Amino acid sequence: MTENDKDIELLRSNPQALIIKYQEIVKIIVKKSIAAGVFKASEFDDVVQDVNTALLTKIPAMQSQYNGMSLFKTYFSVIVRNICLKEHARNKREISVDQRGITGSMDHPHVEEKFIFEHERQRFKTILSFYHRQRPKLLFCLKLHYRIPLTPEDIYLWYPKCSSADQNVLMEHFGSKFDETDDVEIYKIVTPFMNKNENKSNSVDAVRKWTDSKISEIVQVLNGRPKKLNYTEDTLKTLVDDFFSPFLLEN
Amino acid sequence: MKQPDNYFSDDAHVSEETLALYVDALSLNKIYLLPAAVLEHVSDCEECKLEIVEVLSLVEDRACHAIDPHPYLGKKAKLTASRFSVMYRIAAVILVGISLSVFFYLFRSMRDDRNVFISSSKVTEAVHPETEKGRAAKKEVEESRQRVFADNFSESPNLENLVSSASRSVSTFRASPKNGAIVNQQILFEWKTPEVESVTVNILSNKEKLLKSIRLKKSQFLFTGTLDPGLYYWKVENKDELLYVGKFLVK
Repeated sequence: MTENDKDIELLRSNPQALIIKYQEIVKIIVKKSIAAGVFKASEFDDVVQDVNTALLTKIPAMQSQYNGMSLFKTYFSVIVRNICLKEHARNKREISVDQRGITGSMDHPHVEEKFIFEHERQRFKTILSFYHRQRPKLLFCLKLHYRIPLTPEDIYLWYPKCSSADQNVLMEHFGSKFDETDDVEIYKIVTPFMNKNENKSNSVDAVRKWTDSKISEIVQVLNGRPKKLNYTEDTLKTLVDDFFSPFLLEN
Repeated sequence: MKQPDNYFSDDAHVSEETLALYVDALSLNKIYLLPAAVLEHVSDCEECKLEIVEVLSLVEDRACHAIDPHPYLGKKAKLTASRFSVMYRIAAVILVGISLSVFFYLFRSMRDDRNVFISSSKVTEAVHPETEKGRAAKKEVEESRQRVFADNFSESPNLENLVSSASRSVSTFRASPKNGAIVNQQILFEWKTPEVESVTVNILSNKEKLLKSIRLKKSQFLFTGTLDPGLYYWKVENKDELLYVGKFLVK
C-alpha cells in the first residue's frame, strides 16, 4: 500500500487522524502566509486553530470531492491555503507586503541574491511551461520584444513549415542586432508570416497586443497575489535575457 | 481511483484537485501527461496560473520525488507508452491491409479491360481536383498532415528543462551537434570529457520515445538511421549520472 493509499484510507475511515497527521503542513502554510503578510506573526496559533476548525467542517466535502487523481498531500495543501485566504478575507486584514523587486535595491548579501535569482529563474521557466502549444510562439515574440537576435532554429520551432525564402527574410531583419527597429516596424514585418503559419488574418495591431498581453500576464503571475514582488515589463528583461543566454553563448 | 466528470469547478476554473494535480505534474516534470483540456485552459487563464504558482511555492520545499508512483501521472505514463505501442501495431495492420487491397484491386483491373474503364472513371470522379468533394477531401488530408507535421516539432517540457540545465555546463562537456542545430541524416555525435569512460547514448523523439540506445567507450557516435523531420533529443549518461542532454532538428 502506497503512502497516498494510506491517506485515502484514513480520509474514509478516520479523517480527524489525517488532519493530525498533516499538522506540519498546516503550520508550514500558515507560516508562509504570515511571511506573505496575510496574517500577523502573533496570530500564528490562532490561525492554526481556525484552519483546523475549518478543516473539520470541510471533511465531508473533501471525502466527496477528492478522487485520488492528485497526491493527497498536495490536495490538502490546496485546501489549507484556500482556508487561509478565506480567513484573511473574513478578518479583512491589511496586507503588509515587502515589495522589493529583485532588480531594485536589495540589502541581501551576494550569496543570498544569487539564490533568489536562481529561484526566480525557475519560477519564470515554470510560468513559460504553462503556455503549452502557444509556447513556441511566445518564445519567438519574447525575443522580438526584447530585441534578442533570432536563430534559424527559433523560426523552425515556431513555424516548422517556413520556407527557406521566408526564413531568409526573417533572419535578414532579426538575425542580428535590431535594437533600432521600433515595435510597429517589427510587427509589420512579422505579422504576415504569423498569419501564414496560423492560417489567420490578424492585423499588425492584434499581434502586437497579443505579445503585450502575454508579457503583462507573465509579470502579474511573477508578482503574485497578493502582490509580493515588483516586476515590470522592463525588469522582466533580466529573466528573459538569462533564459535565452545559453543559446546566445553557443552562437 | 474514479475518473472525474470534470476537471473544472462551477466558476469555470480548475478545481482544487485539478490544481493539486497540476502542481504534482510540475514537481515531477510531467505536465505533458495532464489532460489536454486542463493544459489548454491554464494556457489561456491568468487566474489559474496565479493559483498554480502560489500552491507550487507552498509545496516546493517538500520533495515530490515519490518512491511510490503517482496515482494519476504514474499510471498515465505507462498507459501512454503501451497505447503508442498498440497504435503502431494497429497502424501497421491497417497499412498492410490497404496495401493488399490495392494490390488485388490492380491485379483484377488488369485482367478485365471493361472493369478497368468503369472503375477508373469512378476513381477519377472521387479524386479529381475539379469536384467539390475531392477538393474538400484533399484539404482535410492536407490540414491533418500539417497538424501532424507541426506536432513533430513541439518541445517536450520535461526534456527542455534538462536541456536548459545541461546548457550551463556545456563549456565543460563540449558536445556536438550544438543545441538546436539542423542536421542531415548520418549524424555524428561527439563529446569531450576529462577522461574516456563507458557511456550510454540515447536518442529520443520529442514525445520522449526512445529511438536508439547504444553503449560505448568512445567520445563519438555516428548515427546512420533515418529520422523523420522533427525535433529530437539526445542524452549521454554514465552508470552514475546523466552527463548531457542536447537537442537537434531534422529538416
